[in-house]
Amino acid sequence: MMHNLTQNIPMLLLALTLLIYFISVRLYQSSNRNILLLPVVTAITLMIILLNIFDIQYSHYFESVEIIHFLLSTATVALAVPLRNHFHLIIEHAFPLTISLAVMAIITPAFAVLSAWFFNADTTVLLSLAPKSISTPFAIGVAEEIGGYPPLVAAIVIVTGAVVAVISSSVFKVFSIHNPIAQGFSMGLVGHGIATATALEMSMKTGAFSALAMGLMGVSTSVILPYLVLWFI
Amino acid sequence: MKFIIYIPLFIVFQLAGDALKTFLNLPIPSATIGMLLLLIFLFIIPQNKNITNAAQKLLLHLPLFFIPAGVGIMQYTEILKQDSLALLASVFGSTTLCFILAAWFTQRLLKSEKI
Repeated sequence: MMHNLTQNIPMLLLALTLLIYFISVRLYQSSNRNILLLPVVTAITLMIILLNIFDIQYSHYFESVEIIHFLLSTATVALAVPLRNHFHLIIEHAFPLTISLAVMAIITPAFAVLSAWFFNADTTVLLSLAPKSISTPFAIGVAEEIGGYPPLVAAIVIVTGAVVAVISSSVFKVFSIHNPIAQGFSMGLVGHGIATATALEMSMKTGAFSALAMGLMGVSTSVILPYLVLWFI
Repeated sequence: MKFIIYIPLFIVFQLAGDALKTFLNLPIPSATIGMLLLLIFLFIIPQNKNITNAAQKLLLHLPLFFIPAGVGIMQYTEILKQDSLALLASVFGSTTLCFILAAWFTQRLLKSEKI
């Protein structure tokens, strides 16, 4: 009996993850989309608490839910669809968007490093913070290149995305950012995939520009950052 | 229900991206390569409502797909504690600042384009 139970733990963890996601989404919807109850944040927090209570190692958990992780790449590929549907707008605004990208691709990692340097963080932490605004697979590649600590980078990247997702609607209100293209593009530039999920909730158009910015920022940061680091250190 | 047959299409492009990355030894993540390949494909075929529908259905659950990677934070609480002040300043402070800057700057550029 006990043997059967432990054998089924991977399936239980998979089911539990789906259940927690469902609960988190419901909680968010019933709170009238209170951004502090952002589903991805609630779900990750609850899952960590449960794994700690039942003393389950992360590596074991990850193996059990790898199929969900696989679908993250599938969904990333599917972002081509809103990009295709809004391609005429992307071409139309290619010039301002390129300028915005070029400026932010330098400012974002520079600010990330400077603010931590001010508080005397050690070099590994500084280098792990530099790629915090690009999606995880890019960020980990860059971290390996410049000498950051990849697992720490992954954690930093996810929290950064969640910060952008949480503050986005307040920032747009306070600073009168009404243009959905500017909204989506800035969310993708600074908050990568996690903010893109929130942008898609605003509209497919906002989501398309967030996806565009995320891809462009990922490519340009991974090219620029290794040179920027050489220059500073 | 027709949209469901398009989910495998996305997976095919995902695997193609993976293969191309390995084959050409590209420094770009395989999902991004897959996305670019699908984008090219979508320009070749006529626009299709079912593909849009399938992508929408899948992207609706994007937050779910971040959970396995996100839970990984639990392994690094020790490191996060060590440099907590610096990390907080950077992850919260500089992220907020850069985001405001990005939103304002992008909108400003888009406005000046119209004049």
